[in-house]
Amino acid sequence: MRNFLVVYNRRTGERSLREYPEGCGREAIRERFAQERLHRDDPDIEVVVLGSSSREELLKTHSRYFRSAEEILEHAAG
Amino acid sequence: MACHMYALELARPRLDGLAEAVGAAPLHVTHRPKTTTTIIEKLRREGDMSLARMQDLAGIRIVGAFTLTEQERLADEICQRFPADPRAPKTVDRRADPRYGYRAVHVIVSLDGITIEVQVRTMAQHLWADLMERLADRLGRQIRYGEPPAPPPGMSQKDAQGIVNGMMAVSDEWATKAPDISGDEHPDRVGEQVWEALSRIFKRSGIDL
Repeated sequence: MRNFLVVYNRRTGERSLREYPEGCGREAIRERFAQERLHRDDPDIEVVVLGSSSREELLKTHSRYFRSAEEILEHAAG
Repeated sequence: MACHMYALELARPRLDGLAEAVGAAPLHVTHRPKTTTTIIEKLRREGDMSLARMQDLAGIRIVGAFTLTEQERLADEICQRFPADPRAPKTVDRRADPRYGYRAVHVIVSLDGITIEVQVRTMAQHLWADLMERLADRLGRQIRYGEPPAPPPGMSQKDAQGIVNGMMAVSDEWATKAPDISGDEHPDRVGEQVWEALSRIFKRSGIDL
């Protein structure tokens, strides 16, 4: 199981994504805390660690971090 | 937070083979410890809430093309896989009791003393929830709890409220009147009527949400 650190701007939709290999969950959490400290004055920044088997799974379960509403609908149409 | 991550990593293998066990299509599964900002938001929003009572500090999300009946079987199967440790699992059916339009089945389990919220969502329920989250990013997180939107530049208050009202109407219509129009009874894809209704809402906004 891999871990992914997402630093996401709610207003603009911009995000950065960093992948951690299996067994590096603690490292991802530590970096999450560091990013939270870095952005603590910006209420639009959300920092999250997601555990998943792949990036593709993240796109299925947490597409809001990666796609606009139009793109979410487009992908849902299949 | 590290202990929640630990509990989640322990919990995940228990979900292996879940789809096969209930005869459902393959599932998409992700886990996360709750973010600090959403913990603070929840503590501020719910005056009587405390960290010790928060049930979703650790969360697992399961999304798939399954029917409403399969969704219930999945919840039952999850309960069986998490015997009391120390608390017995509990199912919260938010299809029958939606929260501001949000519909899903949640299973609250405990593992090694840590509470984990497992969200089980059909494709249509997930599409609605995902769009609502995205909307909340642009119109303010408070819209998820029935409070007025704060529209971005270029959008009127009336239009923003209209979009939120449209989302609520779609949720009400498909869940209370005709679950089959959502695709939840034949879930190869999200039902056309629901997809079109949601698309109309977002096209009407006139700005990229």
